[in-house]
Amino acid sequence: MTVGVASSKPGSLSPQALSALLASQIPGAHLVMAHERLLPVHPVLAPLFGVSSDDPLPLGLVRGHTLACTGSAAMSSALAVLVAPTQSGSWAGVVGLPSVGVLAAADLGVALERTIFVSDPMGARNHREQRPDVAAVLSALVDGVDVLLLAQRLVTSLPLSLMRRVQTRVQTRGGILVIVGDPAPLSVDIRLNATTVEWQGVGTGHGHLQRRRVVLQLDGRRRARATEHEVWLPDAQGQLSAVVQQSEKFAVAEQAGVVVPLRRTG
Amino acid sequence: MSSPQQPPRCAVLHSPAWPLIAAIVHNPQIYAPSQPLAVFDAQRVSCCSPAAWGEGVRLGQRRRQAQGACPHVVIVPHDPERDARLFEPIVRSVGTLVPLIDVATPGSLLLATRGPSRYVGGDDALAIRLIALATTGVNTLSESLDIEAVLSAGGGMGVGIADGRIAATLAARSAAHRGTPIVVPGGASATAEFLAPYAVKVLVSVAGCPPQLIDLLERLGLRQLGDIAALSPTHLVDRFGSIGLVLHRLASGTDDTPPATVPPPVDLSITRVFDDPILQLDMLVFAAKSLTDELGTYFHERGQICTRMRIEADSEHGETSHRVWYRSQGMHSSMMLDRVRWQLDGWINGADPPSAGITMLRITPTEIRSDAGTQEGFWGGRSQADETAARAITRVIGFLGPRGVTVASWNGGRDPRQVYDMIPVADLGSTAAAGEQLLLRPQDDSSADPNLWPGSLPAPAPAVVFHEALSVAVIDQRGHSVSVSGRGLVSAPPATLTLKGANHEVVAWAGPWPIEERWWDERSRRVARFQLVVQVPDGQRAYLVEVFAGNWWLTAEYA
Repeated sequence: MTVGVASSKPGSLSPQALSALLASQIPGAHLVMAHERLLPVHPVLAPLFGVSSDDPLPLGLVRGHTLACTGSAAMSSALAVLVAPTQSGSWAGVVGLPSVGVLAAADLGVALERTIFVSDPMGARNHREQRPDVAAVLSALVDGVDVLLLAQRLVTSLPLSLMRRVQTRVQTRGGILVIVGDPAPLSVDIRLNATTVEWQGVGTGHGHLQRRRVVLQLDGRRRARATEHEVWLPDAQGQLSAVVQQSEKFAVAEQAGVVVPLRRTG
Repeated sequence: MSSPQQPPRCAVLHSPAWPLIAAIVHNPQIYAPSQPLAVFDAQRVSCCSPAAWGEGVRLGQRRRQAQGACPHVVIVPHDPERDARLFEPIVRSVGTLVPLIDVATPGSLLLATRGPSRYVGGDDALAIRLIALATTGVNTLSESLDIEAVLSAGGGMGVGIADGRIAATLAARSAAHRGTPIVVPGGASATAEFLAPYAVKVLVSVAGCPPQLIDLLERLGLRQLGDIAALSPTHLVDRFGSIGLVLHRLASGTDDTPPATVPPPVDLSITRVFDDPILQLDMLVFAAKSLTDELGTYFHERGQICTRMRIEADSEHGETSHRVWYRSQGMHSSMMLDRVRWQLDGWINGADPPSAGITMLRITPTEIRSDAGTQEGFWGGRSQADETAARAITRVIGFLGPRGVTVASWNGGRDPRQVYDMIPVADLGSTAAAGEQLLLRPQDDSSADPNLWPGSLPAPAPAVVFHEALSVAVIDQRGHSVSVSGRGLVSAPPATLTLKGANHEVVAWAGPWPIEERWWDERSRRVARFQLVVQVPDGQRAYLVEVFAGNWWLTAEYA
């Protein structure tokens, strides 16, 4: 028997104590805490998901959730979500996105040896000019991979009831569904909105695109407030890195009474 | 039977030059009386006729040396398949007397004599009977040839009966040379006495000992099997390790490899024939459930589990689907049923469905082991996730066809579209279990040096690469289309990008980066690439555009 335990008031009981308490109440129960059903997230994205060392119940990508990546950096942020799970041994499936930039994904750190690219089941035709059973294809993939990346076009062209069934299946299986683009009218658990602030490195006729400052906004059901985080996506190496706020650093230093030493320049 | 290790008494029927006989039967033109013949395998003589031997052709010689010794030698190609096929009538003929026969190599067969000897009245009678049966078998091979003469050209056939495989094989070899059967009396001492004069070299061909070991034995002065048998097994183990004990056993005739006289494995295949052909998947799976349940119960009762099975389905029009399924941790009945469903689902609803209903379904377990539970890999190795992914891939390929599932493989190139090749998983291996093949794929070599491709785009790479470039317009301040001269100069700074009918203001741009590829053939391409950053209502967007023959194309977006 598996009993899911919703997170109680943090601080009142440690997770271990809570687990022990419940185990004594329900004999033979194997306890799975909500935070144990997580997929890892990229360390740079961790603050967004509320993962920090002092959190008693850290939150990550909860298995079974549907995540929608929207905004002008939707594809990059969706690929950034793939990085940590694929590196830690999970498989990822990319469905109906023939235009995904594989080189960008590789630079971000997606483990390509555990990533499969599946052609659009809506566009495929077998020799009898019949459309393959999309539901069967999706459910087979949900059974097989932990992270399933779907194109918005695919999601919106499928019947809503079918997509809800796929979502239920993902919940049972414990994977996550990532939709690139706005999935309306399908409702999702988490929305990751990525807005481009600026591109750096290119001038008028000189330079080249070097890095992009992106504001990531995470919002969703059962979340008290939207979290926001500024990142370089991609940075000069094509990877994901945090934006270090130079001025903030100095402000903190000033408050602490530390004199920032002057440095001779020029 | 002096000791429990005393091996069972065996009879061996051996034809030393069977490849030659098979070749003559296969192609009678090469045969003439006293014509020297030799079979070459890997450029060395593997078998030669007595006539060739008389002219100086020796086993292991190179082709040149053999032709030097005997210029008119006829060279016969090595073809083990032909040898095995033509040996079959002899096996069948002997099979009329003895049902359980162990065919070691084409030209040599082994049987346990206990029953047959008593039936025909002793070992000598059995030996004569075997020769007669083999001759009957050989005579059916060809009508036009004088088989007796052919047989003698190939060194004849010999029967040896002795305790154990080694002694019987050596006896049969000698018998082939001598022309009469050799029966070695039973018992350990008689066997050892028979083996003693043979050179240790015979262990290479008879028992598969490594030639280096034999060479070492000869240099140590142990030239005959009797020399080894005379030594104490303890000393041999001291000097050679466990192989020393094996050597002693072989030399004294107590090898413990029993002839394969165990009954053939129980046929576990289970078949259901449908009187009314069925095309509905649900009905087929329901019918298959009783089969898998039956198999599951059978294995469960014996504490066994099936790790590999073959599922075959025939349609009314003769189309078939068969596939072998493997799961290293074994399959219970529900897992077997899953595989039946996957295979039939992929076939019936797949790219090449049967044109009529299914009339027969058969499941054959081909690999079984005792069910001792499983242990997942601890450090690396294949994980549960890999296994489930492999199965999912196989299933999806069944739905979408072989090109439906692809993986990325580093290819290199200047164009972001070319840097990674998308390879269908089904192409990674020829077997049906494409998912399994994927796991065997060498890890992706992403460490390939980007400097190999001068002129490729600097990092970061675009996250969206359009495989069919979109036609766009890039316009300067005065409303003219921007062009790039032959010297790679831009006519005016781009000011507006028109994409799908909408105009976007260009706030920053870089380029042109001209690329001239394959100027030597008709696939030559001369393009200039630009990076454009445009202002859109919700921020900035960056695009990669290229101008080719005066037209602008959007090839990628830094999305």
